[in-house]
Parts: sequence; C-alpha cells; structure tokens
Amino acid sequence: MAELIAARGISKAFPGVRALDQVDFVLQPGEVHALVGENGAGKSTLIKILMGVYRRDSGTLSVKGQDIQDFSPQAAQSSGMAAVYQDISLARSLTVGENFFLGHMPKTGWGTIDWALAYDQCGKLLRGLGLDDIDPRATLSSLSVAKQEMVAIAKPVFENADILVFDEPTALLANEETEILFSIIRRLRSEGKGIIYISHRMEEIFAICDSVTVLKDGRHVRTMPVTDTNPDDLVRLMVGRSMEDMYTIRRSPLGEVALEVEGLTREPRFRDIGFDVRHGEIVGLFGLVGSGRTEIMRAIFGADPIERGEIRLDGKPVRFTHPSQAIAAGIGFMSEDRKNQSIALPLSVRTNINLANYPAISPFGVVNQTAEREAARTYIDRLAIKTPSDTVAIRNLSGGNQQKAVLGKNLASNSRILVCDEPTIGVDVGAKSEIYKIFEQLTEEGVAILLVSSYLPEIMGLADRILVIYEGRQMGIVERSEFDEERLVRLASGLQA
Amino acid sequence: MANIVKTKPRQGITVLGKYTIGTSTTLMAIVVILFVFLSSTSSVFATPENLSNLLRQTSINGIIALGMLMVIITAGIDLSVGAIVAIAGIVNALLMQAGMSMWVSMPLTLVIGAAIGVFNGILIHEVSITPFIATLGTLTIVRGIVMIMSGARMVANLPKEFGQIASGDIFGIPSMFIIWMVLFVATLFLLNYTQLGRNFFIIGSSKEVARLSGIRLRPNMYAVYGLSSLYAALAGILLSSRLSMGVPTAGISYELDAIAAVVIGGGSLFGAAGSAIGAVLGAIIMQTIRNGGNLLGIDPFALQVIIGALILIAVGVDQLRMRKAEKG
Amino acid sequence: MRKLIIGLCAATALALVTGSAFAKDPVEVAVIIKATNSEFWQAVLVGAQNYAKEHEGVTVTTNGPPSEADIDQQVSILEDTVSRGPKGIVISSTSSEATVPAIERAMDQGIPVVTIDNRVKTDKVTSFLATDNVAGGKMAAQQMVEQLKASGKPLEGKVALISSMAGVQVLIDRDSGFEQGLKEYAPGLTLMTPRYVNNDIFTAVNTAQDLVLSNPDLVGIFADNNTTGSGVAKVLSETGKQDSIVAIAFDSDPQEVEALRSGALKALVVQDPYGMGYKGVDSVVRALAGEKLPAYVDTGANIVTKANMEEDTYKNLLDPLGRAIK
Repeated sequence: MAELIAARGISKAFPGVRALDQVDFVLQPGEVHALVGENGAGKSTLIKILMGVYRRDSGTLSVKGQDIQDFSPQAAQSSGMAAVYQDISLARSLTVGENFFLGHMPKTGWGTIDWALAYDQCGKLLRGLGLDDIDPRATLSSLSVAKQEMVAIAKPVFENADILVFDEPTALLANEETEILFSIIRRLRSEGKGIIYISHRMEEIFAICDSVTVLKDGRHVRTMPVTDTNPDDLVRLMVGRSMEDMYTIRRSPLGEVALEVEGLTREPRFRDIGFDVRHGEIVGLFGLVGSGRTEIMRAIFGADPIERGEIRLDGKPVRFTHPSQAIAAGIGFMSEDRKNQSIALPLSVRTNINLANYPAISPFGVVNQTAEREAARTYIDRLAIKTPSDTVAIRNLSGGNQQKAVLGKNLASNSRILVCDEPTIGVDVGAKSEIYKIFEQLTEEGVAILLVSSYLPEIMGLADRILVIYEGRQMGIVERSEFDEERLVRLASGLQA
Repeated sequence: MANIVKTKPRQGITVLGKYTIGTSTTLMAIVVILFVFLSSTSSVFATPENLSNLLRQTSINGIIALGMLMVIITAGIDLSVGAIVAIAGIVNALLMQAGMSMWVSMPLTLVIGAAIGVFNGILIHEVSITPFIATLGTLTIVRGIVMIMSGARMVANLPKEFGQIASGDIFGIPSMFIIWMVLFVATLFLLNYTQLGRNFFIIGSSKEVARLSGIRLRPNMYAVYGLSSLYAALAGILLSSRLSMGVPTAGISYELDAIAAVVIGGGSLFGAAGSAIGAVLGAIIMQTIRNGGNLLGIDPFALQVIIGALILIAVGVDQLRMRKAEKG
Repeated sequence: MRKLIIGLCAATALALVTGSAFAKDPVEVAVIIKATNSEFWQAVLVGAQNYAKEHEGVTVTTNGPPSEADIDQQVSILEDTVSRGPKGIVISSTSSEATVPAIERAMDQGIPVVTIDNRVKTDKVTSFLATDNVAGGKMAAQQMVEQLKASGKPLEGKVALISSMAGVQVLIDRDSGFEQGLKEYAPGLTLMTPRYVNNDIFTAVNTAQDLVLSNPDLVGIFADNNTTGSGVAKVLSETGKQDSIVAIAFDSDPQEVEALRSGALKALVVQDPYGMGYKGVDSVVRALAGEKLPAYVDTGANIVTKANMEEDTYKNLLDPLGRAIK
C-alpha cells in the first residue's frame, strides 16, 4: 500500500528564522512514527504544515498518494487526518458525547437530536477503548485534566481518522492512562492507520514506536527503526548530550530548614501533610494525577485556603490568605498549567518576567522602567531565553522558553523557596536540561525547591527526598539512598512499600 | 515611545523586516486622509472655527472612551457610563441650584460618580456578576434615579461661570479639548508607566495569572471601574456646562460610542490590548466623519452605515493581520 | 379668565345633562398616559385632574408606564384598569395595535374609551382627540416665511431641518407638514436633507453648529421637538446668528421659552396637552350622559411668538403644569 504521507524537501521560513530546511518525512500505513527533536528543532512547524495550518515555502507533499498543493485544516480533516495537541482543544462546557459529534449530532425521524443514540454510540466506543469510567453524558469540564485528554485522544478514533498526530499525549496522564493510550495506539496500528507520535519521553518512544525521525535546528538528522537505536543515542542525536547526564545534577550542601509544613489539611483534597525543605534542597512530591499534590502546592502558596495546619518559613509561622503574601515572603510558584496560571500570554516577555516583581520596582506606584528592563535582560541572558526581543509577546515563544520566563519571573521577585508543579511539562529535552541546570545553580545559592513531578526519572534524578501522596494522604518520605522506581509507584498507588 | 506592555505582533505589521506599522500609525493615516479629503471637499472644514467645534464635539466621547479603554484592557466592559454622564450633570446642576458653589459641587459630583463605579466593581468582584450584566443593571438603576431626582425635567438657570468652563477657549483652543488632552496624558502615563496600568493589562490577560502573580484583584477592579465612572462623571459635568443645564436624558447610548472609539483604536474586548492614543484617535475619527457628514450634507443614514462599516473594518483588519502573522 | 368661563360653561352643561346622578355615585375616570417621565404627559394629567377638581362627583385616577418604550407595561395597566371597571377611560396609547383588544373589551362592557394623541386601529372608540401634527408643521413653515418677509429678506437660500429621531410617526408628520408648507408658501427656499440627532441635545448642538458654519446661505432652521429646539437656540445665541437665521421649534419647555424670550427662537409650535386631558375626561362624562360625540377632534396646535407669549392663553399653553389647581 502507498505511503500515507510523503513530504519531501519541505522548507519554511518565518521572519528572521529558518524553521524548516529541506525536511523529508514519510509515514507508512500501520506505522507509529516518533518525531523527536529539541526546542525549536521544527517539530511543531512540520506538523502544522502537514495539518494545513501553515503554508510550506517549498517542497512537495502528498497524502495517500494525492499531491497536495494548497492545504487547509479543513482539507486535512476531510482527508482523514487528525491531531491531538497538548492543550486540549475541546468544548469544555459541552458533554463528552457532544464533543464527539460536534456539529454532526445524529437526528431522529423528527429532525431533533437523537441524544440516546448519540450517547449510546459514544459510550460503546469509550468502553471499547477501555475508558469505561468516562460517562458520555458528563460535561467535559467536570472531568479531570487527564480524563479530558483521554477524551481528546478518543475523538479522532471515533471519527475514524487514519492519520493521527499525538503531540505529547502523556504529559497530563498517569501511568494507568498511558497504558490505555498505548493499547489504543496498538489497535490503530493493527488497523493499518498511521500515527505520528511526538514525545520527549524516551521510554515511551521505545515502548510504542516503530520508527523515529530526529530533527535538529530545522534539519532532518536521521530516520530509522527504533530497534536500530537506544535512548542514549537518540538523545545524543537530538542534543549532543547523553540522557544519564541530563537528570543528574550536582547536589548542594543543605542549609537550615527553609519551609516546614505540619498537619496541613484541606478536606477532601488532602490531610495531615507534614514535611520540611532545607535551603539548597530539592524535595520531590510524587503522586498520581488527582492525588492532591497540586492542591498542596497551591495551599502552601496561599492560592487556596487551608483548614488546619501550620506553615513555617525559616522557623517563623506564617499564614497566607493571598499569593501576594507568599511572594512577599519569598516563595515562588510555577504552575502545571502554564498558559492559564503562570504567564500572561498576550503580554511581552519583559512584562512576564516582571509579573511578580512590580511591587518591588514601583516606588509610589510608578514603574521604574530601567529596573524593569534590567530584570528582563538579566533573566533572558541568565536563563538563555530564546526570544527576538523582550517586547515580543510571550505567546510567540516555545513552551520551554515560556517556562524559563516563568522561572525568571520567580527569580526576579527574589524567591528563596520555589514551589514547582510539573516544571517541565510540554518542554523539550534541550530546555528541560537547561531548567535542571538552573535548579542546580539555585540550590547552590541556597534556594529550597519543592518539586512536583509525575515523571519518575526526573523526580528521582533531581530530588534529595521524595514525599509520596496518595488520595490526599501522605504515604511516606523516601530518602535519596532508598529511591526505587517500584517502591515509589507502589506508594503512589496506595500500597505500603 | 516603545510601548512595553503591549507587544509588537498584536500591534503591527512588519514591513521590510524592519519597521512595524502599528495600529496608531494606521489610525493617524486615516485621520490625515479624512482631513485632506474634507478640506478639499468642504471650504469650511479646515477653518479654525470648525476645527475648534470638532474638538469640542469630540471631547465628551473622547473622555468617556479613555475610561472605557482601561475597563476594556481588563477584559471588562462598562455600559453604565452614559447613565453616569446624565447623573453627574443632574447632581451637579441640582447642587448648584441649591446654592452650592461650583467649586464644591463639581468635586462632590466626581466623588459620587467614582462611587457608582466602585459599586460596579463590587458587583463584579464580590458578587461575581459579569461586567456586562452588572453595568447594565447599574445603567438602568442610575437612569431611574436621574429621572426621580430631576422629575424628568431639565435643570437650568445655572451660574454663568459654570457655562463658561466648557464653552470657553484658552489661547484659542477649546478648554474642553485641553481637559481631554490632560486626561489623555494622565491615562497614557497610568497605563504605560504605573503599576496600576500593568495590573490592568495582566488582569486582562488572565485573572488567575494575575492573582497567582500576587496581584490583589479587589483594589484593581474597584479602581478600574471607579476610574471609568470618574471619567464619565467629568464628561457629564462638562456636557452640562456646555449646555448650561443638567439634562436627564443626556448620554443615552454614549457607552456604545465610547466602546466603538476604543475598538477602532486597537482595543480588544478579549482584554490586554488597547492604547490611550488609539482611543483618542478612534474618537476623533468617529466625530470627524459625523462632522464632515454634516458639512457635506451626506445622507444621515448613509453616514451611520459608514461609521458602522468603519468599526468592522478597523477590527477586521486587525484580526486578519494577526491571523496572517500567525500563519506566516 | 377664559379658563374660568370654560369651566363654568362645562359645569353648567353637565349639571343640566346629568342632573343628580353625581350626588350618589361618583364618576371615576381612569386616565392612562404614554409615559410618566415627560412634561407633555404630565400636562395631560394636570388637565384631567383640574377637570375633576372643577366638577364635583368626578374623580380621576391616573396611571402610565415610566417611559414610552414600555408598551407591554401600558397594555397590562390598561387590562387591569378594564377589569377594575371604572366608569370611563381616557388613554393615550403608545402602540396603535397592542391595546386594541383591551379597548374593545371595555367598550363591550359599556365603558366609554376616549383615545388621545395616538390613533388606535379600531373603530370601537368613543372619540379620538389629537393634535394634527401635519397641520402644526405647516403652521411652522408659514410662520417662518412670514417672519422672513417681515424682516425684508428675499425668499431664497437654504432651510435646515433638525429632527429628533427618525421613524417616529409624530415627527414624520411634523416634518412632512413643514416641507409641504415651505413648498407652498416659499418655493424659492431649499429644504436641506434632514439631520437626525437621536433625541440627544449634545448631538443637536453639534449638528446645528456644523450646519450654521457650513451654510452661509442658511436662512431658517426648523427643529421638530424640544430637544432639538433647545440645541438650535443654544448655537444661534452663541454664534450671534439669531437675527440672520429664523429658527422655529415644536413643543415648549423652560429652555425653549427662554429662547423665545431672548429671540434665539422666533416661534414655538405648541400643542395643548392640558386641553387633551381636560377635554378627554369631559368627553367621557358627556358620553356617559348619552351624548353622541364626533369620532375625531383636533385639539389644535398654536403658534407662540415673542409678541404673544405674555398673553394668558399662550402663557397657559407654554406652561401647562403651572395650571394645576392645588
């Protein structure tokens, strides 16, 4: 059978940037093809050209043997292509079923919507995919983020698309759901469909993909079967570093206790949480999605109220009712939901870096423009944020650079304690390792870091100790010397180690 | 001056890879084209008398638009400004009629105006009523109060000096225009150089981001709606000075003109976009078309079509430009 | 004086016709106006109430929605009134259609209904009293031409028409009457395209300003209600053009009266809302007495100028609210 997608010599330039340079990409039926590369390597540009979002400058593209001249997202969709992006693009106020049928609801003989049939079909598909616990009648926004992601993944299957793009599909998923995703992908493969799989997680690529294409700086580096390579080689092809180095950071000597939490409770989300973080230490917080880890972080930051418990900073009890107090006390916060909670998308990089800094640089309410510009310049340089200028809207930056700007925001406001919720979510390998390097520097300077991550290699590589949470309960604190993948997963699943 | 908060991609189109044509440059060009066209077709347009009329005519909407701009930057909307124009005119006139000096009655009226805005802020922030509905309710309440207070009658026989505030000139420039320009500079400063201005933009991009960045929403929401009402109250005082009376039906649908001026000037109802210069130019363009239409005797209904089309074109062009920039 | 005579005559007539009926059973007449927020309609109520105060045995209840936009509300007020069952109803109906069923029901129940100001689309009404707005507009044109002649100006040049709002029947009638009149009395004058100001006085001022400035050959301005009249007066006195441009306006409010006195407006076309209210109640009372009434009565428009404004008749027309009997 013919190739599903054959793209040859694709080039695309944006003002000042050559995003893609003579890139070839071929997708066969029944193939799961990984697309990997660093931040700015051109993965999203390539996908957007394939999906008709961008116009290519040169090169040829054929889909299912048809030469494509002018492509549009609609044309892509009608030729059976579908993409699931990281930020779920579904209608949050509609039900799961409505999202499936969006605009094509089945009709009864009366011309009215046949709800029973719609939900029945939808429910059947969900059960068939092993998603029995998603009610087709549930409103999307009532589902957890992970479940929403699963709905987004199920939708193109329902639409019977035969070319599917998954862009970092597991970023929001727990292990169990990742397994379901993989079984869906295997099924699609056996049906002869083609899947393009973008991920920064090496073990996923080796678990599910057949072949891999590596892009670097807009150029095609190599395409090969995954059996011909290994994670280390792949990372080296992408960044010129090995994976081992990546998660290993220099440990810093520990100082006094910076943050102490005791009996922290907010029913029904979490209860009796108690731990401490020393200056220069990274304490990991590990748990499944929905275990309450995000809520704990938010409570410490004063973003959500707490019912009981005490928080002490450098030994002094504090009580925050608003994040501004936490910021003033030297706590920084990186949310897992960058776009909705950490950065002001339409505003400039300069404003974003200073987001929490204005009270400090605005005597009598007038912003000191020099200090503002200085802060932006300092952190753009220090954190190597790739941006044409500091007046560019932050939405134009890649996820990794946005996240570095969030780090910059927290550093600019002089945070001595950093609360990081999934700091590397949606961030490519290169930027990831840069963020780890920054953590390394910060701990050397005595900053205490509280790190939430659902990605075991990351949390095990970075943390000095790991606190495991299961359904709002503290399952234990594991010392670095006792780190063990299986033990952590057992604790996080509610089983005693 | 480089606008720091707002960013180039939203604002402009890249030409020759170097220069960016911003919304305000485009607007300036429209103003120039309108002026050239009207000067060549009407012998009266470019006379000092007409120009000073034009500035006086624009000032009221111009002032309201500056307040509206700040609200729109926070992704809100203030429909109550027209009603506040009316209540300010009536309250101030009644106070003066009762024998109060205008130097006391005017500040008092401004305080009352700002208080109504804070009331809007309370409805929006504390009661979580969407800005559209909250200010719609306030609009209706205030209109009713105006009718009760005035008995639906105009309040006339105001002191002569009061009428001179808005009708007078300073060095040949209409005083109303000067007041408007002072407010323009103040608003420009507030938006571009103060923490409050930054807060408005940040709140406009996302309230949650603002809160997690340590911005307290309450004082900022009170401030922005208070300022909008304060500006509207000042416009109401000036309007009643211009007419030498308090008019209970004054300001009807002025909120829509103000929104139109802001939007023509590059503001977005999605928030976090807009500039003081844009709002000023937007108001000037709208009134210039009306003035020109009167001078040339253009069919009034056709004129309405032109102004409506202008709003759509201004916003449409911006949207297309953005999409083009994204698609590359 | 005149008022007294009218009152006496009416009282005598009533006493003769209805005799002792009043003594036992007071006659309740419900008066429903278009809107409580306007002086015009308040004047209607004053007329109706004065009638009741002058006639023992007649009581008047008044009601109406706050604004002319509240058509629904007026319909429910009327329906409630009909159910309550007064002896008669006087109504100025905002809508020509919405009130028809309720009016017909009242008539079927034997309650006479007199409509004022606005015609409703049914023949089942006792009588209809209104100002002929077309005639009023024509009178304005005639007055303008006379004043131009009196000041010795040739009858040529432009005349501007500033209308409060587009699409309102009363205003359309006034404007078309004015246009007809102008054609008839002074074909040499050109009527310019009407300018509409949304009943906003500031817009009226701005528009008048622009017109005066851009038309040096402007000899007259017609403003078709009080808002536009006040706006035009303001501009003419500011620009000092009040003697070179003859401005005539409809209605009367304190600002217009002031402008008439100062000469910024040369004449006002004034309706008689007081008379509508007074005569409306009177018609009901007469109908109850079995009198046959004409289907349509023109309550008349009057020209008030600086010369006659101090006469009692015109003074009363200019300030109907001042006539309220305490």
